[in-house]
Amino acid sequence: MKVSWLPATLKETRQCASAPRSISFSRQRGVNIRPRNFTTSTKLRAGIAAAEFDFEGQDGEGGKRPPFYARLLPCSPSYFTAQPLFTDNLLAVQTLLERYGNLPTVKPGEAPRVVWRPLADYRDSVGEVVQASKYSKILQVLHRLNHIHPSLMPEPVKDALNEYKRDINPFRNVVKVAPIDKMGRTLGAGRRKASTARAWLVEGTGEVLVNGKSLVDAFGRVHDRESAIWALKATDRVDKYNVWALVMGGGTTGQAEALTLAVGKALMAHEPALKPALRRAGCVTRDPRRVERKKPGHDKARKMPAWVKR
Amino acid sequence: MATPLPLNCWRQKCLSRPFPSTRLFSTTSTKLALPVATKKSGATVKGQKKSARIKSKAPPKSTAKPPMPGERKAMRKRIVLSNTNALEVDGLVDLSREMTGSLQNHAGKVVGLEGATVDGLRAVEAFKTTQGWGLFRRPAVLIREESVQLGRRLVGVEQGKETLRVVVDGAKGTGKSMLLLQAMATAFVRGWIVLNVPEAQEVVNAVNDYAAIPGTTPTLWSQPAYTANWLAQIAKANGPILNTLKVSQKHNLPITVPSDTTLTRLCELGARDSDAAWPVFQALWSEITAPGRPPILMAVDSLSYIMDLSQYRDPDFNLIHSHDLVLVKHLTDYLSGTRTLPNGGAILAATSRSHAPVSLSMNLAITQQVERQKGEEITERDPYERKYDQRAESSLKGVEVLMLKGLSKVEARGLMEYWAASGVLRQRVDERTVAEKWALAGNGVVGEIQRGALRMRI
Amino acid sequence: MVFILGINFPETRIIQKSLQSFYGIGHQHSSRILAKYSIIPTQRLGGISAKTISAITAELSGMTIETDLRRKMQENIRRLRDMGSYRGRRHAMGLPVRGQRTRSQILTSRKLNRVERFN
Repeated sequence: MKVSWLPATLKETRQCASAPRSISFSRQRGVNIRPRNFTTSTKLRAGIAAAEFDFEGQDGEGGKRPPFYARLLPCSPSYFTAQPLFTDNLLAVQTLLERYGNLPTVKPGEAPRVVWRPLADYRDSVGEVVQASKYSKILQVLHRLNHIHPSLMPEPVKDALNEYKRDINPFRNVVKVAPIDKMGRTLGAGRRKASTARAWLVEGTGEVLVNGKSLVDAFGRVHDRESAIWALKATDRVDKYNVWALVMGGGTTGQAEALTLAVGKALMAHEPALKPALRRAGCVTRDPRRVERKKPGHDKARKMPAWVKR
Repeated sequence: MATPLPLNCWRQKCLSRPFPSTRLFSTTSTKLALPVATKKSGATVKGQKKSARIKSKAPPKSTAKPPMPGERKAMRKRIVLSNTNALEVDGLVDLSREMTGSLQNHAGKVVGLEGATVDGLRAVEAFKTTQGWGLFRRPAVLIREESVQLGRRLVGVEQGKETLRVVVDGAKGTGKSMLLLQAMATAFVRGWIVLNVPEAQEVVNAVNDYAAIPGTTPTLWSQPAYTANWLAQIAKANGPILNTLKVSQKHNLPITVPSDTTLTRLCELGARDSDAAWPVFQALWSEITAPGRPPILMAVDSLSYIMDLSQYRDPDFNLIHSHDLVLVKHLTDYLSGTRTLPNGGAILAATSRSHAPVSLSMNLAITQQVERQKGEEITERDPYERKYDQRAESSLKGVEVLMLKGLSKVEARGLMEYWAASGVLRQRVDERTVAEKWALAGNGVVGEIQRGALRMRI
Repeated sequence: MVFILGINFPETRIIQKSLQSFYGIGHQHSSRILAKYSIIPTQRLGGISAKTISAITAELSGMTIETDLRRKMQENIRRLRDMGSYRGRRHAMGLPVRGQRTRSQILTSRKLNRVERFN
């Protein structure tokens, strides 16, 4: 039977129809990536509706006519479930687990860290309304499959796992540690409000120079001086390092607090183990607040002109 | 008299207002009529709206007596040298004559000042209100590296009968005035005569009367009231020494001074009559610089004030140069080295970094001298700058410069331990706190350490 | 009490202020007079010798101040008026003389600009 002119969905159906007993599990693409088509075009309708019967049977070219069935068989036994593609997928991974479940596994927690595709993403790709609990069933199986020892991981399992992995693995994103240069310095940069700061940290006795000035000359307020070397103070490293910093832009508070971050990062390069302590001291996170812009019709960012009746 | 308009006029109806019966052509009778008594029952009268504004009451008049003239100033300048709530520090050694010869043994430690020294220092106004004396049981000073240096020099010039000329400079809060105080304390302890100008600003800012000295070209100006006051101060501060010295020379004075008078008495006579103050000071000076008399220490604070024009004006309305004021001239003559002290002694001047005028010449002279002392390349004067002062420059030629920096950590620790022992600093003094305060104070600027440790309550 | 040019001042009054109370003496003139006699600007009348006071009085009596100055100014304005000049007319009308706008804020000229001006 010539099927080349048929729409893709039906083509499969026809092929299934021609091999009635071998229900097409062999197809088993993990997920049908093709998004659901929401148009009501004839093409779609042609895909859903059964093809016209060819009673004449003129298509047979080799003389041998393929067997003909009076009704079409669905390509998958889950055709009549609520979420056929989901069911297919679940069955597929379960089959994999059945087949390879007895392979040796790694200890729990030692499997490579994987981030699975989120539910919304899966729903989009399948085009079905899949409940979270249902999807978690697939994830449960995948989690188990992921624990198969990596050296023995069979190819089909690998493929299936890849199918469900997120494109980006956030666990592979490791922060780069700033290098210590040959003079023993580390450079850290920090920002706050409109200020930017760069601080070079070298082992020393606690001397601080900001823009070539001492801390007293650079910051008149004691509070600002404290913020400038807060990273060192919070970790008891004031007398262990010398700081040489350049600060630009903004006002005194911004400059001082930009220095907090810069010194903190430079210190982390020297002693990476201090990161949690520095985070607790507030020397890691950049404060994203900026001056809110003024809007037209307002006196300031939010202030409105006084409202007068007429 | 015209008849009123008919009431049933259609025009009237549309105005929907009762037609006044008194609306006549003439309004005289209505105006003459007695005013209708307004209801007193809180009803608002038309045209007299109730406003939300609250009438502001007149501020209550203070019944307190205003302070007497001069009382405010006295309060402002009051110096408290003792705090009975502070703890007595055990083992606080007093500055003594023997100690001044070997201050290095006490480097990095705090030493107390004994009663007589404190009296002298108080009389010459060496203590300042900003130095925090009122926090401690009794005055004490930290012996730092520079104090040791200066002390050694002072002892040296006493023995060699030379004149030490030093300008003390340094960033704000590095202890310039305090170093002057230490030098004066050393001088008192060693039996020197101490003359102090506690604030050079007061000499030149035209708050004390002045008069031309006749027969001087260029005209020199004396400041009778200030000089008289100064004489009183000198007499009070150096009383123990001046009491033992007697007038030995003939002086041509406008007042009669009986022979065999003590120098204290001479000062008091001069202080009493301001017109005679300057001649008496000259007489006093020739007496104390006579052979066999003790060495002299002269100290000036806020040097840059006397390195420029003063605020005084001459009859032609030009500003008088500070060096034309005899009192300033007396100091700058010794500072520049044109005159020397025959019995040995020192002239010390400290710069000020708080609201002091900028004297380019002074700054240049100090920079050049520091470079000379370090053996570096010497900065040239800016050829495009017009504000240099020739006289200031010549007066600072060859002056030694003592540049103050922050304390070392050892010194800072000594000081903080003293504070802790006095009960002022309620913190454990260990390496960590010292390092932290030292770093926060811009590498040990002592005034900032004090500010951070004693003044701030976080 | 201190007499300067026939006027009595309390002794606590600052001399510069009392000099400036005369019509025709402002900051400039008073400062110059003080400089001439070597008096500091914050000096009070009580602290000045009688000799200096009389010298200052003599100095003031030689200057065109008070009534003399007023008369001189009035003559000047009258001259302008008599000439019939624009400035004279503006004086007579009590309007700004030197080309200021008159749309608003001419209170000062209304107060001061007149032919018989006193202050």
